[in-house]
Amino acid sequence: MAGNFFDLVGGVKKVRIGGKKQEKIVNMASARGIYIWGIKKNGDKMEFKVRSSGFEALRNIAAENGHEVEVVEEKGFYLLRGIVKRRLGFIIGALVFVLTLYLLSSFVWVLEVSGNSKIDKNRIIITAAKYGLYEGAPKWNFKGSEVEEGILKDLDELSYVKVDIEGVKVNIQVVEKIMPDKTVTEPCHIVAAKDGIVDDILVLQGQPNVKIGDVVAKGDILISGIIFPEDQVISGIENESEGVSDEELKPWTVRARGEVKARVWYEGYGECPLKKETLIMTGNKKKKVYIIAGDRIFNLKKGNDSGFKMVKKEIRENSINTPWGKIGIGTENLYEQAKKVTLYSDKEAFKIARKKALDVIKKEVGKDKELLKIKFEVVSAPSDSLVRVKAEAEVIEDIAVPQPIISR
Amino acid sequence: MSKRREVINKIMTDIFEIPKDLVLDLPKITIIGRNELYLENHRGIIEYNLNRLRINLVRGFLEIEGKDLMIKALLAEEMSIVGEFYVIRFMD
Repeated sequence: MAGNFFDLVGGVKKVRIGGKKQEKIVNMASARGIYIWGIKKNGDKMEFKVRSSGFEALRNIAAENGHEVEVVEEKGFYLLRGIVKRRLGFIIGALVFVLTLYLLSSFVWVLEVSGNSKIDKNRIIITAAKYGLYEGAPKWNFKGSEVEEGILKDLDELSYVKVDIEGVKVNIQVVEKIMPDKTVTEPCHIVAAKDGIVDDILVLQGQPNVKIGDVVAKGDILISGIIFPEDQVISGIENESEGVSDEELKPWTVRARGEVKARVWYEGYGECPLKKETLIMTGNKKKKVYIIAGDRIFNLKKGNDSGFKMVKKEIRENSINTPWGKIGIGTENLYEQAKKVTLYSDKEAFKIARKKALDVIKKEVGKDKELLKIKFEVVSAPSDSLVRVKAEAEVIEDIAVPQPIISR
Repeated sequence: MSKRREVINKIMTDIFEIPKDLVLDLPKITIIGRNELYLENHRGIIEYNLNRLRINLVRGFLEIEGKDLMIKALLAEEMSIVGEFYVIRFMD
């Protein structure tokens, strides 16, 4: 019972009494409700323990009987008061440390998204922020399960969301839905995706509607998915006379398949001024370093851009979001720029404009296809300050696109 | 007078089958092994040293002889004793 935590709060005294009739004092004390324990004879004297609260009463009883109470040992937290007073700064420091640690660990410092491939990370982060989870958010601001539900509800493309909270780091794990293929499986026509002249046609299934050399417009049916029975009219009459059911005579539908290659035209446009001004870097550079704390900015290294006529700024910031605003460090690089004037002759300008026009076409057509019959045309007047060029190129490509048959 | 009351009480407890330690203030002693003794309804310590302990009861007293006797806890009605016991004897 000694060493019990609650006994130590009040304090425990180990006392010793001597003389005759020690038992009487013990009996009287316990009869008056003083709790005594650990009674042991030590030679002629008797030692026992008593609570500090009962010590005064025990001493009175002893005094009445002419005994002296001797305190051997004292235990209790109140004895530590001196130590606490002497090391007050240390104890406050320790408390502040624990408190700060707790406070800082109750915010989200790092937010990560994993598992997404098609969906933009920012979309998930913005949706999570709607439910209270963002960088710098206090942890009591959101509930993992609620954020999970919210994101799942708002983003249809996700099939599973898990919010993993590991200390100050939160990881949003997502699994995307696998959408069914959009290929057509039902009966369909093959139609033209672009205007052009049919160059080659290969029918795998369906009835061809065009011949080689035909001019087709966008949306025209190239291979029909509706197949009419051969010499329907004749056999129809025959069948009617023979009384065979109408079933066989009706045209049926198939999923038309095939390849239709056609010559299609691409147009491109390019221009080049005769006098061209470009900005170039002079190589002079200045650097600015600053600390971001909330809305304020403290400059560490000042870079004055007054010496530069034209400047290109490059700002790089590393910061984290906290409940008190952004905290971080930023650098700003200032590069001096200068104007450079180049004059082109008509020929040179035409060359550049032509190249630009051709690049436009190439970009549209794609790299792997060959350009046939390239034509250039200058569309600007000689008095203009720039040369405009229009280019036209022919390309042979597959223009077949399936289109479901709309049922009537 | 007190003797007569005691007799009446004894008869009453026999009739109603009430535990005697409650009504008659009889001591209830629990001994665990040979090292621990728990005693209820005592009337104070008469004599105590390391080899002998005498405890007052309602009638007579209890004498414990042994080695390194120690009163582990002492309350107005109960006490717990530890040590090595040799003899536990009731005396008048």
